[in-house]
Amino acid sequence: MKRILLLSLFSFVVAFVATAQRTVSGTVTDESGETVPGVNVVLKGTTTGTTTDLDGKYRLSVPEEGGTLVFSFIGLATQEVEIGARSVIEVRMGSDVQQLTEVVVIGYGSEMKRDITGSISNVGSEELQNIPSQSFDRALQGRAAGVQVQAASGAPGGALNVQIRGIGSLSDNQPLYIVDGVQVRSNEIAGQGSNNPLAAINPQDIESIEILKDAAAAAIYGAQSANGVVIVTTKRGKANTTDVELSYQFGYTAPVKLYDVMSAQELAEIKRESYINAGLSTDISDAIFGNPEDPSSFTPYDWVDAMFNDSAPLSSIQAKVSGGSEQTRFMISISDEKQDGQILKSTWNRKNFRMNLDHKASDKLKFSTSMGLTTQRIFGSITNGNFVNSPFVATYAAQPNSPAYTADGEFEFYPAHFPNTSAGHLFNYNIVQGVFEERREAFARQAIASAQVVYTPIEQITVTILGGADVANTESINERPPTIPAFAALNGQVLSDNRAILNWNSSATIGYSETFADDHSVSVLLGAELKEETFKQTSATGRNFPNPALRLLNDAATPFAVGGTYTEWQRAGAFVRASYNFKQKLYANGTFRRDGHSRFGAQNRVGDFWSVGASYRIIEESFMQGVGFLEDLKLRFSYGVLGNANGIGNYEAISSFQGSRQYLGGAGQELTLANDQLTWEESKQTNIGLDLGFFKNRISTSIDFFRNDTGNQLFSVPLTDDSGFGNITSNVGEIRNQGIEIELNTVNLDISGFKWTSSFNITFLENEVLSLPNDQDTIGTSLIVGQPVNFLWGVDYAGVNPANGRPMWINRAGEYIYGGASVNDGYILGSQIPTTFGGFANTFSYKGLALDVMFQYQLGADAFNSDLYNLAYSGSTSDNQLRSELDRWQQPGDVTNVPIAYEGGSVGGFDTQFPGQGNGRYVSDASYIRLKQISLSYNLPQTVLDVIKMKSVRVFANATNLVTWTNYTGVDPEVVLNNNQTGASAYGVYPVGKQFTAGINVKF
Amino acid sequence: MKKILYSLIAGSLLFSSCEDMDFIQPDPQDRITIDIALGDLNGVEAVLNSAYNRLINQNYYGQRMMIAPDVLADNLVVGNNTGRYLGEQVNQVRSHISIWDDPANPNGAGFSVRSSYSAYRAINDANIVIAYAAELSSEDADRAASLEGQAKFIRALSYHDLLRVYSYEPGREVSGWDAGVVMRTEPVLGASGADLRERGTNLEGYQQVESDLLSAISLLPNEADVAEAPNRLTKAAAQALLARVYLYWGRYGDALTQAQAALAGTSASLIDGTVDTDGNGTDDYYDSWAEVNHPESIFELAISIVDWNSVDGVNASMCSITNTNAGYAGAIGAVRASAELIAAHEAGDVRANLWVQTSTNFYESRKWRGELGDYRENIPLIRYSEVLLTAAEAKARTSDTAGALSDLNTFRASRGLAAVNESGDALINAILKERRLELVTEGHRFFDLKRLGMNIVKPASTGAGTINSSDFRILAPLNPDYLSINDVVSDNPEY
Repeated sequence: MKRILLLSLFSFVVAFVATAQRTVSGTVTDESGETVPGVNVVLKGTTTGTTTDLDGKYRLSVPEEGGTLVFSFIGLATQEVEIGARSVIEVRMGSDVQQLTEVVVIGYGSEMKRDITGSISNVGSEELQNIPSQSFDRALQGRAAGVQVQAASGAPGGALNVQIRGIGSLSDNQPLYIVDGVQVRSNEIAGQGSNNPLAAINPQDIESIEILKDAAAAAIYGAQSANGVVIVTTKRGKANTTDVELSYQFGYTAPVKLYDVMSAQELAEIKRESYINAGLSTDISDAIFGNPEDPSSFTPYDWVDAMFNDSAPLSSIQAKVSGGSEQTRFMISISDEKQDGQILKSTWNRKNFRMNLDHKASDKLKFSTSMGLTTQRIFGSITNGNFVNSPFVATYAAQPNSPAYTADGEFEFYPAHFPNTSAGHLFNYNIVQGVFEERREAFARQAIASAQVVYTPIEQITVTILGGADVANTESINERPPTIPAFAALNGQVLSDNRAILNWNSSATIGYSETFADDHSVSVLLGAELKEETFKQTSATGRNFPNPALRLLNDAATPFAVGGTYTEWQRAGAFVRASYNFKQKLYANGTFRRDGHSRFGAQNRVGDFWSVGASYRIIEESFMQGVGFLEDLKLRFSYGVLGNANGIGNYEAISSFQGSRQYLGGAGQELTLANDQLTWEESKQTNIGLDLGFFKNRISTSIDFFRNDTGNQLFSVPLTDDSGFGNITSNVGEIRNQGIEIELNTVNLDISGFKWTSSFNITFLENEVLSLPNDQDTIGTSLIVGQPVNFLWGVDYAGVNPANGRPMWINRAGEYIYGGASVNDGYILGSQIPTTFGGFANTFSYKGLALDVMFQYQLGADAFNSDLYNLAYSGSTSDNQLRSELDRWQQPGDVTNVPIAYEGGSVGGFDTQFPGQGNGRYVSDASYIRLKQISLSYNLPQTVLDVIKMKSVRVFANATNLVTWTNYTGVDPEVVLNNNQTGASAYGVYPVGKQFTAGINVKF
Repeated sequence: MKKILYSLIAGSLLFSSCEDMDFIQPDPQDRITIDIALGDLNGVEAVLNSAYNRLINQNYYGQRMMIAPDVLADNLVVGNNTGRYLGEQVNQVRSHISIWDDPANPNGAGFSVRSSYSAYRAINDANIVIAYAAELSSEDADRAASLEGQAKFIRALSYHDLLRVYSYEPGREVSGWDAGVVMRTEPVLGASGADLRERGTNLEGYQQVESDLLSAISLLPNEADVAEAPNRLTKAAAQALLARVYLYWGRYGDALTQAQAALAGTSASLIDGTVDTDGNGTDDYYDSWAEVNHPESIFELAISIVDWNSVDGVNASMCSITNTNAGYAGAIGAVRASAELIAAHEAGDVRANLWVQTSTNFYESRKWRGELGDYRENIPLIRYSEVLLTAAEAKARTSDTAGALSDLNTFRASRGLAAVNESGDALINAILKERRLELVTEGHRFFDLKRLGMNIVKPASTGAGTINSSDFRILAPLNPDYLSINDVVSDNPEY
């Protein structure tokens, strides 16, 4: 009743005021003088307002006595203009450097950036725009402090690894990814090639990405939040406009670096020497590698040239339509992207369809759905292992005196000199033939969809119900045709592997917010959530095909093997969050969440997670009023306990037997030791942050100090092997990650339309094992208290003894040894976790022209380059060698780091590359700085657009991974560091590529 | 304010209702609990099947336990350089057999250990069977006894293998080093069972092996009653293994008794290699190695097509390791005969036909022909020949020269060799020579030298000279990673 009364009164007043009105009009332009459509123009303190039209013009009725107009637009600084007596007001809006009123997506809601107590990084659609990154995680690289993104593979569409604030867990460090409310799976989904389920989202469809980094921000996700949370929000239609956007780009990929291996002549020389040194007949080496003095005895061949492609094409075509009315809005996009890799056959193709709908049934009831459908096709390569059929191993190791092709273009038997010498090098596998003829293909079909109902019975209360699913069906095929000699005996083999992954979550929340007595704002959120993931896999292998062209399992005469598995897990949680702020000056919030997880034993199934956060905007204090150069000054603090349940099997708490092995057709079963005490990993996270803005925010910075102590580590604890078991999953030990993150955004120049802005971020990270189970100081040579979780263990290389050419290492006692080091001789050679990482982005713009230059870097990490086992053996092996091995010791007195060439490599009972512990010779500093991105773009000016009746036209060119500065001995420090950290093999990694693209984007 | 209160009340109700969240119930479809798994003899037999299967792992009898003892001694040298056996051929420090724990690649290159394996894993499987089979004997007493007997054999075999790799034989200690291996005869069913233990003495180890085999002999059925013999264990197999154990132990009289019992209890018999029954141009001895089960096998491990993944054949099978492409398409030929082994064959020896010269000095074995396809074949573990030569040696060492000569000459005749008339050391050396030539690539040579305290005269081509029997490298080292977990155990000397 009271409301109706108020409303009537209000109408009356409005009617009254309206009698004395006049009109103000004008045009809104941006810094470059272009008109800006869609700017909100509001008479301050009223609901009177309008938006600028397509030409940036507005017209508004205002009271006779004037008032203040507020002009606001996302990305531009809000301006307030006194009307005075004017009837025409032209406004030029400057760009917003750091908008404190920007809305940031948080867990189960959104908040003004100003009001945030936690640590959240935000990446907007501009950073993702037109960059040929197949997945959004790639675009995060170097963009946010504390967030380390590394390619796990350089394969097109390949996987990435995202770590937020270091390696806190020994089991799993992947953050929780949420796409439009769906908690999506980020682990590999198919059995062939490096595949990334996050590539199901077209980065061009993304509106914003928020990264929740500390307890205050992430605790609402309780059980899965210890590694941080990445929230992705896709674009949605805007009311009262219809936009059609088309874009196309094309380009190519090239290797960033290749190993420089020996020519046939060089290899023949060093091999002869290695046979002589080992007291063997050079007849053998000459027969295999050719006589170095008689170039007619071998045919030089360049395997690297045959395998790698320095102009692998890529293309992308995208179309998007969006718009709608006040009631119903839509966004529909389609895209097709193709990208070939830097080696033969490697390719990736994604077709994507997205439809986002919003409908407002009434002021109280809103519906929205988001749906993305994707297919990915990946032709993969064998990587991450010392495999003779891996192109990244065998291409370099293949003997350069044996060609891939015969004179008439057929594949040559490898090595061509084989039958005479019995040298079954690389298992007689012609790598070029293998890569050409072996099919390793994955098809992934994914749907990520969610639906949400928001009901607002009264202004203060919001009820939200959300359901989301992430569905993937993948099919992986491996065909090994009999034309490859290694598979001839099988007469062809086909493996088909099908996986179905269903992953859904649903939640209901009720939110309440109210401001009391003007100064006290309170909001409370209460919710519950369910999540389940099921994984089903079926595979079958058939052999013996009547014809290489027949490749269906049905054609196989010999059914060889079948496999299948089904596994599932569930999680349920209930949560509450309460926030309070006083005069937008003092903020406090608290979060509590209780989660249950099916992976844990009955007594330990439930975990409680919580956080408290507070912030103090000192800038609002009266005593700060005089400090004119300060625009923002805010202190933030948070502490909380978050959980992790990932990285372990789904049934580790159930002691059980599983089918395993057989004998004489009788099925076997094997005991798996379980730990019914298994429970959550718990991360105690502290964050202290400071936000500063100077000179109207031309300089703004955030500094965060964090300390995450993650205990109850889910770790596969080794058992004494004589028990018959290797290990058992337990909650053991604690790991600390602490560091400082700095984000610095500056407007360096802003003179007559020319603008230079920089965005720099740096993270200093310290990782340390605080404790291990049973008060042990070490677990093997893999974990040591007081050391980082990923160190390199071994003996340092001391070079070559000039007297005899034998390599020497230094043991723990400081003695020079030729080898035979035991564990007590080894020590830590370096850490694989960078101590410093970040990015540095610069944008130069003038009128419609913009140049972005972005660097990404990791410093203070060492890497072990396993490739050198094959390629740096001073000619003592049958593999081709790095050209740098030519610098080997040849005679007494030679001072070099490359040992004597000695066939077989075993001199005096010691191997020249295995000192018994890790070989320090193969460790190098993997710090790098990479010119990650250069992009140049030009937007056609409004005057031209008006003539051609377009909303915008943009042409652009990009270069990715153009230059890398590093001392790493391998091809790509980024992928190797990632592999070292995640335990993947550092042999034959798929390095990232250089990309060059150009394209056009039009909107009308 | 009231609304906040309501929310909080509603919230606390929500939380209390999910105190233990027992609506979340894991429902695994791929595993069963212990009481179901071991509730009947079928379940117990499934664990025994797992134990059998562990033996065929390519780190054990699937390859390394067969090949490495020849490379560590004087029979085999590296053929093609695939990274395999480079260290073993020169007895490089730490290049040895590793069956104690789940080893990392012993020398870094090439060899992939497919599944986690150690002799102790087979022992724990066997311990489970031994603990549960007797309890279920009411279900079927004969079957329960047989399962227990088979498990005791596998436990004894595994312990004896551990002892001969990691310990000196009782009475053959160097500098008094009599450490045996860690002994466990109770199953580990939970993490608490995996306590840290020190090694027992070598004598305790041999006594446990002896007691297991004596028990197995009484429990196992006669060969005639075992349909799947020689792929399944029999009384004769247990007697044969016990004969081998006594031979290592220097208890020659006992060795003879068991050897004779085994020879009497098996239908396997000595092949006459001098004839070509099927007239195919190759003698019966050569042909015998292409049969699915070797006619002399008293116990032979069966390998099924499902036991290997697609690359196990080419990477690690006996066939691929011993043949080159000339013998089996695609085989990698990692080892070949030493010149000394070839030279040791007398004229007329049918076994020389198994060594095919494919290039200069390159003699490769044709014993392992992958006759089941994809490099696959069964692995004979105990053959009539071995037991007969054990009997001959036992007789020679217990002064029964006539008996020893009779056995030796019977054997020599079957291999196309004339009778000899030796005595004393010469007789014993003649018997050992037959063991060397007959049992090559079957995992004996290094252990035969070791049990007798003989030096290893390495093949000249290795340049490794002579490895003295007192050299610390005769015993295998324990894995450093294992030592850091089990810090009460002692490593072998000088490691």
